[in-house]
Amino acid sequence: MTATSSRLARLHDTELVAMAAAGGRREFGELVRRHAASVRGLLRRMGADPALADDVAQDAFIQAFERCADFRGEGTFSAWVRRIAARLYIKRRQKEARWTELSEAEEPVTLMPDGARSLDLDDALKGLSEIERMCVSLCHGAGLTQAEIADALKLPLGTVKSHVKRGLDKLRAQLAVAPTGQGRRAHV
Amino acid sequence: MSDPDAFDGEIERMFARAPAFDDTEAFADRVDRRLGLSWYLRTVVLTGAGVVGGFFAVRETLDAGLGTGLSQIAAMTSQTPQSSAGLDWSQLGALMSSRGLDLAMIPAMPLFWLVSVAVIGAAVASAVHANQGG
Repeated sequence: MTATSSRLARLHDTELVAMAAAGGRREFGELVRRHAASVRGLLRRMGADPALADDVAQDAFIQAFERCADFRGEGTFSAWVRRIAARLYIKRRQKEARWTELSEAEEPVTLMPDGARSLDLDDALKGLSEIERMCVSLCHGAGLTQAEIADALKLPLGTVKSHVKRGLDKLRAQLAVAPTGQGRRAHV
Repeated sequence: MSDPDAFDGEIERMFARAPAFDDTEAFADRVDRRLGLSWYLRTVVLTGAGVVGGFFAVRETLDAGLGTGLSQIAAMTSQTPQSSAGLDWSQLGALMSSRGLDLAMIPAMPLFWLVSVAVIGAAVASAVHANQGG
């Protein structure tokens, strides 16, 4: 580890953001290293394939760098970038298809034929329809309110609420059978 | 996990746990390269805009009578006006006119867009080249 990287590693996110807002690319690079996994992981949990997730995550970090001065530190930097990434991903998907069509078209994967398989969150999310997965991830992963999700996805609020509820019910059922500890692992 | 609120909290904790990626350093490098490219593009475009602006400033200055001024100076000193590089302005003007390159004959706006498109095209080509190289 060089002297610069060890110096950067000691700085708090808010200090790094302030330096990045002044044009510090090294400092921003440290932020990327710290939070890339969180942003990339969220996008994959929202249903993006790895290549698209990385592409959107890069766009999100670039947008974050350009808007560093707008970051008020009211939440964490990680949460801020995750929200940017989530919105960028929604825009990408909206260019491809309407969510209303997706919600009915996608058949969820059956994960527990014998009801005994241990699951983690990433496995369990595969058991949700695409729109349920999206709504649950936006709500609990990106921290958007249900009203914000409805606005972003251009869906009625009631529809979003029922997608979130149904998605959580499915997750609860799938994760409930996982043995203690096994079902809490996070990997992609 | 029968309590819905407790389960919501549990789900949020699970989402908060970032998965492990073994290529984080490479990902950070890609972001940095794109930031560098974006910075380079802006620099090229701003420089190009400066060149275009400067070009028009010179042209407007010439249109405003610098050529006439040079002729007057030449008449006063009974010498052919020449630049420090030994360039004969009257001969240059005649040569450009004979080749259809009289700048004063080209309308300002089309010329502006022509040069702008050329500069932007050069900037994009340089950026693409730099990106492929990176």
